[in-house]
Amino acid sequence: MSPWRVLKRRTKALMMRHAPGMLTCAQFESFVLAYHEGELDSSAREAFERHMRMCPPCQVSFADYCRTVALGQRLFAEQDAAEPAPVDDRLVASILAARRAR
Amino acid sequence: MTEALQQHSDESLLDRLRAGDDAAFAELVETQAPRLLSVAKRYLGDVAAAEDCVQEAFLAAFRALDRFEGRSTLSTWLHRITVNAALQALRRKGARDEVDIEPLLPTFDSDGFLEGRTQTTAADAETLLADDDVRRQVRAAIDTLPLGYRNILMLRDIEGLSIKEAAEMLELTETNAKVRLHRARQALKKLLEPLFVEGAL
Ligand SMILES: [Zn+2]
Repeated sequence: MSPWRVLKRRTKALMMRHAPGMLTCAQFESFVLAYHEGELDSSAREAFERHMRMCPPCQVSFADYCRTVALGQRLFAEQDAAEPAPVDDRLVASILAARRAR
Repeated sequence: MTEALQQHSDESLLDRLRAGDDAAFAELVETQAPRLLSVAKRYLGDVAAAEDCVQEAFLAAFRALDRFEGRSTLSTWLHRITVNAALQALRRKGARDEVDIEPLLPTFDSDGFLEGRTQTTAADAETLLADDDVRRQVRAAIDTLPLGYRNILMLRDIEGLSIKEAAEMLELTETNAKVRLHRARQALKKLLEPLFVEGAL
């Protein structure tokens, strides 16, 4: 890392640690789930959003997190909306036979 | 079918099931098995295991018919029983080809900064999923998560249960469920990183 980048990061670290109400990246990370679930109170939410505005890696990380959740949520949406493929008749027969055998 | 109509047709079907009417059982299995099989396949992968799971689920449902309270539709109730049967089958099957979760979690440098990219693609989930290859990648990535993480992600993000409901099904405390869910999503995000990197598609 160039000396200039190191200096920039150190300055940013100082600012982040000493600015009142500023979260560290690790703290930010620990609030991600609660923020995503809408469980944070307004002051915690503001602190979360303030960090996100100032910190590009956390901004990207959170955007990717949201997209990851959305990918899971939508992965089977199409399949769920469509008519499911018919099952093998043997399966139906086997279930009904097992019931009668009880 | 509207909710009210569904409820009504459920009630008459339920009465016939409870009376032991063979035709009612055939109707229930024929109408519900296709959807339940596709749900079971999401957890178990191969068709034979999913078919066993669906059979087990129906038999468990038949045994529990008297306890069905009608607070959900029959199909929601059967869905829940099928997911439970699938989770049990996975537990019995034991260890699979799983990745180690630790290396997939975010890391911080000595100054406490997140080590990560500062740019990402703009494509939203829907756009990404329009590509069959992406769908396969997402499925495969979910499948490689360790079971204790994969299950909570499946229940919360794929089935859409609340964290509380998912925790109950997995016999976890709500706090533990949250920790696991968060790690599961972080790990999945890491596994799917190639989708998010600018110029990678
Ligand atoms: Zn940060």
